[in-house]
Amino acid sequence: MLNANGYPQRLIVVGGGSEIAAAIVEALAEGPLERVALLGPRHATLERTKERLAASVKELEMFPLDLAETTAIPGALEPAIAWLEQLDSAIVAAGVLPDQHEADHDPALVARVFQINATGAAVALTVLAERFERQGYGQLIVLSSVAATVVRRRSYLYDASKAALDRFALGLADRLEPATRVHVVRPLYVRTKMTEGRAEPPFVLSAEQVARATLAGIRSHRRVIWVPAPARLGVAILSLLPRPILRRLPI
Amino acid sequence: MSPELADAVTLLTGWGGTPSSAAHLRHAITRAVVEDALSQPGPRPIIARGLGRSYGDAAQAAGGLVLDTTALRQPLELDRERGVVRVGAGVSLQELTRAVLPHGWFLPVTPGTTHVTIAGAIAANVHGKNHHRDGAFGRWVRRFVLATPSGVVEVEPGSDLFRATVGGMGLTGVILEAEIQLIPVETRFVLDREIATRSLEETLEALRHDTEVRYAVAWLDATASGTRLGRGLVSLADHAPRAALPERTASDPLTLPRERTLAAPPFAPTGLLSRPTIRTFNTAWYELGKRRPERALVDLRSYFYPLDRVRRWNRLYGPRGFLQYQVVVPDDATNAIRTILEALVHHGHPSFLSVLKRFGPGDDGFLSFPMAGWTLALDLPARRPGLESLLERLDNLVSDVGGRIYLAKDSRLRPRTFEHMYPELARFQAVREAVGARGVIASDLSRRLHLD
Repeated sequence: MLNANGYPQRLIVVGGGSEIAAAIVEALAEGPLERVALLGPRHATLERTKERLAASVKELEMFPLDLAETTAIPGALEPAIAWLEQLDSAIVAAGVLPDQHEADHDPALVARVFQINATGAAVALTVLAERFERQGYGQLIVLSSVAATVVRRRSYLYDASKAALDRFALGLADRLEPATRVHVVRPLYVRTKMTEGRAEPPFVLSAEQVARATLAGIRSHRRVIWVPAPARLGVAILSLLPRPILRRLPI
Repeated sequence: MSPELADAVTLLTGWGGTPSSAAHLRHAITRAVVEDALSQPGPRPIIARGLGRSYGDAAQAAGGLVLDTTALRQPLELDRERGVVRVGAGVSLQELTRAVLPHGWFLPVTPGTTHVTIAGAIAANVHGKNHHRDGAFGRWVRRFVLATPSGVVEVEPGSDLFRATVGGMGLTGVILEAEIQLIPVETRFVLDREIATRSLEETLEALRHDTEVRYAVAWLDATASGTRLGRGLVSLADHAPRAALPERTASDPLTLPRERTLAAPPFAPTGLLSRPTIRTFNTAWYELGKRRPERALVDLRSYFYPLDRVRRWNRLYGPRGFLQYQVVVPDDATNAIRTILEALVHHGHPSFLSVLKRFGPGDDGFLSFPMAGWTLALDLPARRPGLESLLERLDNLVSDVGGRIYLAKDSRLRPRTFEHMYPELARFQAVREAVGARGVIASDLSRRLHLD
């Protein structure tokens, strides 16, 4: 169950290899967290998260899940939910960050990115939402991005796929709240394995900073969690700029 | 349309406003509704709910069926000679008081609000300012009628089902009616002696004199620190005899005047009850109390239920809600009380309302909260950074000294700590098993504590 301070006992992580998800689980482990199911396509990546969380989570199990295989998703979630016995909270943090220039000429890559970041994630969310709706309570943490709210020439494929997920999650929030709380987390650039080797913008977040902001958002029932909070204002200003200027900005 | 489909899905919370969950809410307008729900297939689990004054998640069952039992009321039967009353489970203590006080009878044990049902008072085995002398509510229950999944039974003190149900948080069945022994009073007043203390030692010392009076309790200024830590106002009181009344009221000593209440605003901002406002209130209350005359004749309502004057006062805590942290520690563990008060001040989690009291010996309820020692109750704004881990540490401290947390207030205790605090849990579960309650009757609280 969720306790008075918003902490879960049993948690599922879709995208268990995500460093941001691992940091959020670590932060939630301050509460009564007792069982965590990690789901992802690569065993080695999950293993890395498992090692990191060994100290903070009592029971942790890994389950294979490939969001690119859309039709297999409901079946892949089943054993994880069964093992948890009780599902209080879900983190959906799966995603890939493609090279935009490659994607410009590779239709298959475009399809794959949408399949993982948007389609697969939406399918998984649908299964989880159904469960939460039926059980009358729950907590859904969806890793979106500030990128979901702006369009940038240098990464519009990623931005567009995250935008789809972001809107889908907000729709779910309208459907599920207040019995189930939905938290859409929109961080700026986060330094993780996924972003390794890329040119960094001037302002960079750590996964732990995103986790702290997420916990604060959970405590105050915030639906959209901007990390850092002023990013919301930044996006509002950007949206006022004329397109010819916006597309030349180094964001 | 089947009755299940007619149930409205409703979001429910305890008095603290957190956590919440949605369930089918059904009004038990007759006993048959309760019996049918327990015996026929339908949404599960099932839990009874009265006036929703449990602070945490005791009277909600996510995705299941919540039976509102406030309509379970039959004509009240009062034996005016012996002071025994037979009363429907959904009758509130307020209604019961109104009915029996004119005949010179009063509640044997009363919590800090009258807005609880008889069934709720039994299920939480509530206590009052007279626990050191009169025990908890369960001691005054002569019998009750309980609907369980395996049928309706009449339950008497001493039986295992009685011991599991008194303090059992509604997890053995649904109480339908009860017979309660009342206490005689001559007037609607208490004679209250209020002593302002300057430190925790003084407060504890004043409370040790509770054997001289029926009611003894201390309000603490839980924002005071250093040498002032634990200072407060100790109240020692007894029912006022008729002879103590001024002539004006002596002719009609038992009629309660019309009650005037005020509603709290529906939406309070999150920070309304925060560190500065809580500190200001507590300091002012203490200073005012110090200046009041030491002895006073106080109306029962003002004495026992000052907060009932503000309807829905829980809304003042804003959308994040609050939690009440109530612990009991053995007589010799006053250091734990000190540590708790210090920790909350030090970590910036001030308690708006803090109450300290000495308990007499515990009772035989398997999950009954009271035990001989000191009980401290604190109202804390919930969902604040750092609160979760701080209270977890304090839980462990309480558990280590042999104390426990009150389930009627709880919304965050962890299963293992709970098991340690309530050593008769296995017997409780055996009774639930025997009446077929497991798998049928459960609440968010019981699921959180893994009792199902």
